[in-house]
This record gives sequence, structure tokens and C-alpha cells, in this order.
Amino acid sequence: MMRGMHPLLRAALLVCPAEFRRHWAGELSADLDRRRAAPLPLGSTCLNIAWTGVRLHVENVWRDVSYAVRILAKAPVFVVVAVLTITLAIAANVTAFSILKGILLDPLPYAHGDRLAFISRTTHGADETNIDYPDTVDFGNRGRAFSEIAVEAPAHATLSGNGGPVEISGWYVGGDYFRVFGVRAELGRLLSPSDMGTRRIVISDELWRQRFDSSADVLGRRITLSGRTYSVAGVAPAHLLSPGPGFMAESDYWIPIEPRSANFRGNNAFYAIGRLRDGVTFAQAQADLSRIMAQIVRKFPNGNPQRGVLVRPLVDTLTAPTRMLIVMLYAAAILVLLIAAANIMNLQLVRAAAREREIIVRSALGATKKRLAVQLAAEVGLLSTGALLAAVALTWFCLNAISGFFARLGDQYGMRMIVPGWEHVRLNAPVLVYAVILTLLFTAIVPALPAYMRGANLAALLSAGGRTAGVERRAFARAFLATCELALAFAVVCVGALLFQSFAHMERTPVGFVERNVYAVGVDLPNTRRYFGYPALERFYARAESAFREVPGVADAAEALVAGLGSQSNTDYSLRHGLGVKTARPEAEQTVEYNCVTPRFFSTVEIPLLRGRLFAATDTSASQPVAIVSQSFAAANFGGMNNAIGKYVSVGESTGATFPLRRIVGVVGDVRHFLGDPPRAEVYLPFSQVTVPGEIVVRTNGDDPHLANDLTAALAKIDPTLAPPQIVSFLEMRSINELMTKIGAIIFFTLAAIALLLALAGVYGVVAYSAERRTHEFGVRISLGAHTSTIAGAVIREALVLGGIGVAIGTILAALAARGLTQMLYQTSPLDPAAFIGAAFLLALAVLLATCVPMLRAMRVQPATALRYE
Amino acid sequence: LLALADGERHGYSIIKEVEEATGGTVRLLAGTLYRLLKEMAADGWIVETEGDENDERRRYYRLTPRGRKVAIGESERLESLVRVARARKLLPAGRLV
Repeated sequence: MMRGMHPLLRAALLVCPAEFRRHWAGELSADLDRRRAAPLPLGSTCLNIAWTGVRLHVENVWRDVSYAVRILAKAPVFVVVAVLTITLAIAANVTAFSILKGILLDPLPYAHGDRLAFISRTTHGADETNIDYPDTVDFGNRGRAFSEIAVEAPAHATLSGNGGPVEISGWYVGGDYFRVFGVRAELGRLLSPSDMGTRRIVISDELWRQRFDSSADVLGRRITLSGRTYSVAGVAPAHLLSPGPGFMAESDYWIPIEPRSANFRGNNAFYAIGRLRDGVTFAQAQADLSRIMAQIVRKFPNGNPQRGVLVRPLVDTLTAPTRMLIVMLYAAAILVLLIAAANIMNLQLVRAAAREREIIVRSALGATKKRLAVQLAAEVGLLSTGALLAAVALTWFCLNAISGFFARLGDQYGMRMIVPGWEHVRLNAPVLVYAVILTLLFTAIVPALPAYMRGANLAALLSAGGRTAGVERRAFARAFLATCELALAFAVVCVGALLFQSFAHMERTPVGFVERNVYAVGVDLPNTRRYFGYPALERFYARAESAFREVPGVADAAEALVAGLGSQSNTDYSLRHGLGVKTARPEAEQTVEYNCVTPRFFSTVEIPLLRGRLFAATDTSASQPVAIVSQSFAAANFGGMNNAIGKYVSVGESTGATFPLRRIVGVVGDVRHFLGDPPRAEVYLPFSQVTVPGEIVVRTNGDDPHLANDLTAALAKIDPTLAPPQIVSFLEMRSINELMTKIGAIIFFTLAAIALLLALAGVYGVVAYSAERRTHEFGVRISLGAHTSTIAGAVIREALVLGGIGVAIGTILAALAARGLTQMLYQTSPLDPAAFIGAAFLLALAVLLATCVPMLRAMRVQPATALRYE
Repeated sequence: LLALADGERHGYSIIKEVEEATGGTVRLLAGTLYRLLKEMAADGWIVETEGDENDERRRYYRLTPRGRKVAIGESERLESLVRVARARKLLPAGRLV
């Protein structure tokens, strides 16, 4: 029809709805025919036609929408259920997406962050995360892969002057630190290689504002950190985050690494982050550093011969703890979305059945299949738009709630670490676009199935008054959808149950020491003569220990280098089997956890003595160096606890420096430093022989609200210039340690609940509809003397068949999903029968719950009513 | 509607008729007219006829009795408006429209 037409007219007609185009194309091309006497003006006519087309489209949409509003207003229950379903599904999905995007997809907050690599040391191929400073210098000097390498180690200090003393946290950094991250000073300058070995400091924007009133004359000012004086070189840009393995930290200051720890080979106290040279890949960088590490191992044969180096993208290190969880979260949210889609289709089918007559009449009056589909799309579109607005609000609420949760956590524990990338997680334009696209998909795909199902022979439908093959087909489709929902819901519930099981296992795991009523009290000692070296430190801790023990309610107190879950310190060690045996090469050399403790540490946290003796007052700096080892250490190195006593071990950063051989005098029970990790081999050294500042561990007889005040007062009596101590309970340390697992379990619990709820609604729809269609049948059966329990059985049977098939398919889905989850599970098999049976039980409960109402209704069918039905 | 009062016509001739009747001051555009024609047909004011068999591209319309009623009604409404306008001296009395 469009052939031989003026291209302008053809273009104008293309804008118009197809119906208008078909109707008037011939007429218009005749009107504009130049061969006739007075053709209509081409330009203005075509413009007018195009404009008319646009108006017609708008009118059509408006008509569909207002029709949809009228239709929906007649079915408020349907509207509420549908909007709620879509809202929950979209909100869950958009929340998951914004987290996925913010944390895993958005770039790091540094210039060319994708070119940054985290460099860590390995032992036996296992990642140790930390590295020593001289190694990084060798990497920089001899390597070709990195243009600069940033080296950092966390630091804490007491800032005095300008108001009372406060605890602040920062970093010891190498000279190239700020260049690697490509940041510029907000004021003054940042540290450079020439600042190494000096007492210069860069302070954070926040500290500058809070303590120095944003004044420009802070430059060159001398400030005192834990008794040492630094001169301010500059102010770092606002919101500069320092990366570490698995976290980002806000910091108050950056100071150069002390030369004595920098030049110490084997002091694995640093994190290293390198910037790749242009064109160098991560694999090339790995090869380059491995080569250099092999040279280092050859040059320093006394060091740990098993050490290697690992190079990986910084973003991988940062997101390692959360990546799996986030991906699983998003996958589960997609499943919930699918369930919701099935639910909406199901609801539409129920309504289609109810509206059969209306649709048949409209079809008979000439409404095309497409037209009917568009009409249905308008309805779903309207529902979706309402749901979209609600979902965006709900997402906003969820993200705020999670942010608030993190903020509270930070306040509570004085933690300044944040989940890397969390600052990107917000309801921004891309997330909104995603939400809108999701809604559009919901309007496009969801109505397609019911419209397709309506392809059944209309004439047959009309003549049979509804009882036709089309209806049967629809019933099958709905049962199929409900089964899919159940299968998907079962998979989500199973994964949730597995994570919950894993969390429960973790909760129950013995850590090897008591945590209730135990507190770690951190005291920051100034770097002055008063607290320098062995006798001074020992004197202070002895006084503090006895002062704390005097505090009412305190049962015991001791000093330890590390205490509580989530803290550790490791080093290399070597073994000698007898005193005086001068073997050139150590028989075994590995990494071991070590702790420096006072004698009462073991009784304070109740670590049991298994063999030999504990430390005693007779173990002094002048007496025989001694050590106590853990059960695992004894088993791994001596084949048992009895053999360990009397053997010798040398503990310390073994490369270069020499450390005394220590006689093993006792064996104690194993402890865990991280939930989910097995206990590691551990060596305890007496504080009197290895005097390093640590924390004072305090056990109380019960909850004491005045504990913090009392301890602070006791400390002030010893030295009034000390900042108030940081007191963290062991239980708080545990809850930080299990935070990720807990968050994972909570998230999956929520998603599983949503999935169950949606599936429940789906099953209800199917069973209720089917029961209603069988009203006639039930009435006849009851009138013929069937017992109500038979009728109830008929209804339940149908639901249980759906549930059974759903669980069977769901089990396969869940088993597949759980395989990917193995890494996140703790002492829980991915096919844990308890979790699967529990999930099946929950699902069965949901199915029965969904069946209750239709069943009761079916049982109460009055034969007379039933016969009048239809 | 007035253009259809004296018999059946097709779109083009309606445009020309209106143009002539108003001395060229009112020019109906094809798109607008055809949209109106469809609407009026949907409302049952006009009906499509078999028309001229020589020109099968053309669609011919004529007034239905109902359409005629609407046209008369609308004319009367306009007339009464004109009457009011005259009474208010907005239009000179006695002049034919």
C-alpha cells in the first residue's frame, strides 16, 4: 500500500498508529498526487499527519491507562497483592544491585585504581598479607613492573596539646605512598622519599578542621604524638581512605616509617601497594617479583625458605571478604524477582479467568491479540509504576539502614574501617535507571504469557462457556508457574538454611579461652624515656595489672601482646632439639603465632595448662629464656605434648638478627584467633623476657557499668598524663569477627522469607482457584455422602503434588547453588541434610498454610449452593 | 459535518469544500480532518459508504440521521450564541452569517 508513495508522506505515516495508516494511506496519497488538478500542499499536510500520529498515540496510551485504572479499581485485593509482590522483588533486587555496583563494579577512589596491585608475602603459597620493608625496596629497585610502591603499617598515638589528650589512628608510610594513590595535598605538601627518617607529619582534613580550626598556619607547627614531636608538612585531601587487606580505613595522620623498623629484614609488619607501569600486566608483575624474591631467598638463606610473593589487583584484596556474599546476594535477589514474575503471571491468569467474558467480548468486537496484550501491559505497567516508586523508597530505606548499622558499629567499637566501596553504594542515577529497566521488563515479559495463552480458540471458548481446552491449558500453566516458584523459593531457603547452619556452627565453636566478662584494655604509652625499654615498661605494666586487680568487681588481670578474637601477630621460628646444638640450617622453619604474656594471662582468660608449668616470677630477664607452646605446636613439631617439654625453640624474625634459644617449659590448650579458622600453632613468651607493649586483659565477676570509669581512674593514679584507655570486650571482638557471616545469614534469611511469602501467595492462588472450579464437584460429592475430610484431602493433595515437585526441582537448584557457596560455609557440607530437611519442612508448612483457606471453604460447600454454582 | 450535509463526500472534497465555503480563510489539514472523520465515524455521526467504484482509493462518508441531528443541534447552539452576540451589540443586527 505504501508503494509509489512520496517518501515524506511515508515517513509521516510511519509515525501514526498502524490502524490509521492502513485506513488512510490510499486516500492521502491520492490527495497529494501531483498529477491531479489541485493537490494538497505536501509539506504542511505531512507535518500535520505526523503530529496527528503523535496525538493518536498519546490518546491511545491515555485511553489504555485510564481503562486500566478503572479495571484495577475494581480489584483492590489483586492490586495490593501485586504491588506488594513487585515492590518487594524490585526493592530486593535494586538494593542488591546498588551494593554489587558500588562495591564490585565502581572504580576505586584513586586515580587509575585498576592499575594498583596489592603485594603480599606467602609461606608455602599461603597468603600472609604482610611483607617486610627491605623486600619492597628490592622490588622497587630491581623490579621493572612497578613505577612506585606504597608501604604502610597501621599506627596509633595519643595526640596531646590543643585540648585534652586523644587517641588518634594513622599510618606509618613509605616515601612513595601518596604518589602511588595519586593524591594532592589540600594544604602544604604530602610526604615524599626525602622525608624518610624525619619527624614530619601529614594530618587529615578532619583532624585539621577539628583540632586546628582549618587554620593555614598549621604548616610547620610542632605537634606531639605519644611523646614524640612532629612538624606538620601538610594536610591530606578530605575523605582520603587508606586501603588494607579487606578494608578501607579513615585516618588522622601519616608519618614516615621509623628507620629501625624499615631496615629490619623479616619484620613483616607492612602492607605494600604498587602502581603498575604502563603496559605491564598483573601476570608480568607477578613473574617479575617472583624472580626478585627468589634472589632474596638465595641471598638470605637463614630466612624462611618457603617464602614467596603474591601480586594481585588491589580491588581483589579489598573486596575479598565480601565478594562471594555480594554475588550470592544478587543471585538470590534475581531468584526472588523470578518468583515475583511467576506470581504476577499467575495472578494475571487468575484475573484472566475471571475476565474471560470481557475479553471474549472485546475479541469478538474486533480487538486484536496485540491490542489485548497492550491493554494488559498497561495494567501491569500501572502496577509496576506504583511498585517502582514504593520500591525506590524501600531501597533508600534499606541502604540507609545498612549504612546506619555500619556507622553504629563504627561508633560502638571506635572502628574507622569501612567496607571498601561502601561509599559508592547509594541510590544514584545508574541504580535508578536499573530500577526503571527492571520495571519495564516486568511490564514487557510478564503480560506476554497470559496474552499468549489467550491464543486459544475464541469460538470454542464462547460456545463452551468457559470449560474448554484453553481453561485446562491455563490451569496447567498456573500449576507450572506455582511449581517454579516453589522450586526457586526452596533454593533460596536452602541457601539461607545452610548459611544459618554455618553461622550456628561458628557460634558454637570453642575458641579455647573465655570471652564472657573479659575485656581488652588498650593503653597508649608515650614514646618518652619514662616508658622506654625493658625495666620501665615492665614496671608500668606490673603497676597497672595490680591497680586493675584492686578495682572492685575485677577477678583477674594480666598483660598480653594480643588478646581476643580477630587479633594476631605472627613471626618465623626455628627449632633446636638440644641446647648447644649448633646446626647451620634450622630443621624446620615456619611461621607461628606468638604472644608475649605475664604469668597470670593463662588463668585470666582460662587457657588450660596441659603439661609442664606456666610462667613464674622466677622467669626473669636474667634467667634461662623459656617458652610455652600450644597443643597444636607440640603435635606438629614433636609428635605430642610429652615430647615438647625440654626442647628448644627460637622465636623471632629470624633473618639477620639472632634470637635466644628458649626452653619449652609448658604446653597449653589451643586458641583460635579467627572464627572459622582452625587453631594455629602458637608460642607464648614471658613478658619479663620479651617486653613489648600490649594490652591489659581484665576479667570481671559480672557486668559492671562502672568498669570503664574505674579502670580510667586507676590508670590516672599511675600516670595522669595518659589518655583514657580503650576498653573493648571480648564478646564485641567476637561479634566484629563474625560480622560478615552474620550479615550474610541475616540477608539470606530476609530474602528467604520474601521468597517463601511470594511462593505461598502463588500456591494459594492456584489451590484456591482450582478448589473454586471444583465447587460443583465437591457439592455433588458431599450430597452423595462424602465426608468433609475426603474433600479436604482432595484439596491438600493437589497442593502437596505442587510442593513435592517444587521441592524436587528446588533440591537440584539448591545443590548447584550450594556448590558455589562451599567457600563461605564453616563446618557445614553444601549438601547438609539438616539444612535441606529444615527447608523442606518450612516449604511444606508454607504450602499447608496456603491451602488452609481454600480447604476450609471447600469443606463448607453447601450442596444446594454448589449445584446453583455457575 | 456541514460539508456532508448535501450528500456524501470524500476527504479531499471536504477540504476543498470548507476552503471554498470560508473563502480560503479556513484550511483543514488532512491529518486533522482524517482523525476527526474516524472519531465521528466511531461516534456514529457519519458512516462510510461504498462510494465511487472508479476510485477505490477514496473513502466516502455521509451523515447518519444521528449525525444530522448533531449537526442541526450544533448549528442551533451556534445560532443562539450569535443571537446573544447581537443582543450585546457585538455583531450588527440582521447581517447574515
